[in-house]
Amino acid sequence: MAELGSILKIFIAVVIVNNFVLFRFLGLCPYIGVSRNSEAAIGMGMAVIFVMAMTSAVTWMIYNYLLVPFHIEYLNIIAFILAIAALVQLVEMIMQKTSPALYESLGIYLPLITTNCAVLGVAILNKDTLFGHSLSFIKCLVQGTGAGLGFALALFLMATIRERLELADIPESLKGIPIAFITAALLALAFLGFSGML
Amino acid sequence: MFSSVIFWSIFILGALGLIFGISLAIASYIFEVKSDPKVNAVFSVLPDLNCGSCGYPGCKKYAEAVAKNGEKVNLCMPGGSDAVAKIAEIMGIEINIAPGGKNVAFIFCCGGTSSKKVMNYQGIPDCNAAALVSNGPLQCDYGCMMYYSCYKACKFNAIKINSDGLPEVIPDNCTACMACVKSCPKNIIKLIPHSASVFVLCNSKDRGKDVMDACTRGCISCMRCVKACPVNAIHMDEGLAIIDQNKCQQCLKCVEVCPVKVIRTTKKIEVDVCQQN
Repeated sequence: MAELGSILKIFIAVVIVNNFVLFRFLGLCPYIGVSRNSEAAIGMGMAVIFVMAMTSAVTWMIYNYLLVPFHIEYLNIIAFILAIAALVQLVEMIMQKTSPALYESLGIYLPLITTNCAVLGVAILNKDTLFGHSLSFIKCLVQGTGAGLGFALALFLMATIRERLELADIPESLKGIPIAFITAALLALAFLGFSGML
Repeated sequence: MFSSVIFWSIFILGALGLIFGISLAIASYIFEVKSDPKVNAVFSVLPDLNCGSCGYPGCKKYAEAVAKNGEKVNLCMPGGSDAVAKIAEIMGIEINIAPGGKNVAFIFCCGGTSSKKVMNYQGIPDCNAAALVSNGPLQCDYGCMMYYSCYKACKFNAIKINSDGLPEVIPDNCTACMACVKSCPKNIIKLIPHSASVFVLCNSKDRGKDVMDACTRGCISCMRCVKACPVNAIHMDEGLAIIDQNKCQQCLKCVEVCPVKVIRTTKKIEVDVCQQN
C-alpha cells in the first residue's frame, strides 16, 4: 500500500509539480516550435507520451541487465541515446505498416522526438532517482508516462493560448515568438504554484 | 580491472549497436510498406514546380490524389496537355485533349497612360490596395492601374513591364499557374490558348460613350468587328467584343475595321506595343 502511494506521488509530481517543460526546462524546442495550433500539439504530445513510456522500460532493462553487471554504468548516456534512436525508428516502421492512420497523425512528429533532450532526460532522471528502489521498473514506467503527460499538458495549454494570441491586440514588436516566450514564462510561474503540494 | 572495463565497454556498446542495427535492418524488410508504383509514375510526369495551381500542396500530393483517390487528371496547369496525356495513359483513362496545346495568361488591357486618372493615389503600391480606394485611381473601372501585383505574383519570370508601363505576359515562360490571375483585383488577366493570336485588348463593360470619356484605347461596342468577322467568331458581351479563340481563323479583318485599334494580333503587340493610337 505504501508502494502504491509512492507511485501515485511520483505520477503527480512529474505531471504537475516537476513538469518537464515548465519546471525542469527540458524539451523547449518542440515546446515553442510545435505549439502553433492545438491539433499539432495533441499529435506531438501523444507521440512524446508513447516514446517516453517505451524509453523508460527499455533503458531500465539496458541499465540493469547490461551496464550494471559489467560495471560500466558510466556509459549510460550513450547507451540510452542508442536505444532511444533505434526504438523510435522501429516504432515508426511498425506503425507505418500496422496502423497507417496513426502513422499519418503521429508520423511526422516521431523523428523529431528521436533526439529530444526531454526523452533522454526522463531516462537519466529515472536512473538518478528511481533505480535501486523496490518496484523500480513500474515506478520508472509511471515516471516516463507521467513526464510525457506533463509535456503534452504544457504543450496543449501553450498551443491553445497561442491560438487566442493570434487574434489578440498585441503591440507590434511583441508579435509572434516574443509574446510566446512571455507566455511560457508566465505559465512556468503559474506552475511554480504547485511546488508546495507534495 | 581497468582493462576489463575498457573491454566490456567496447563489447557491450558494440554488441548493442550491432543488435539494434541488424534488428532495424530486419524490421525494415518485415515492415516494408510498398508504395503504389502509380504514384511515382504520375509524379515523374508532373513538372515538379510545386506551384499549387491544382489545389494540392505540391506535385507529390497531387500524384497521390490522382493515383489513389481518383482525382481528375487535368488539374496540372503548368504541365499542360502533355502532362494530362501522360497521366491519363498511366491511369488508363481515355481523354480528349483540345487542340491548341497549353494555356497561357493574357492581360486584356492596353489603356496604360491613355487611361484618364481621376485622382492621385499615393498609398501602398499594390493593385489590391489601390482598388480599395474608390475602385482605383482610374476613371475606367476595368483598366490596369499599373501597380504590378501580377508582376510580383509571377514566380516564373513570365511577366515583363513593357515600354508603355503595362505588364505583359511572356507566353513562352507562362505556366498558367493562375497566380497573376488571382492577384489582379480587376480580373483583367485571363487564360487563353497559347495558339491564339488575335485579342480584344480591353476589359471595359461600360457603354461606348463612357469608355470614350475614360480612355482612348477602349472597346466602344461599335460592333464593326462582329459584322466584319467572316466566321462569326466575335460576339458582344455586356458591351465588350469577345473573340472565340476556337472559331477564329486569324484573318485579321477585325483588326482592320476596329476604329479604336483595341483589336490586335500577337505579332503587332510584339513589334509595336499599344502604340498605334
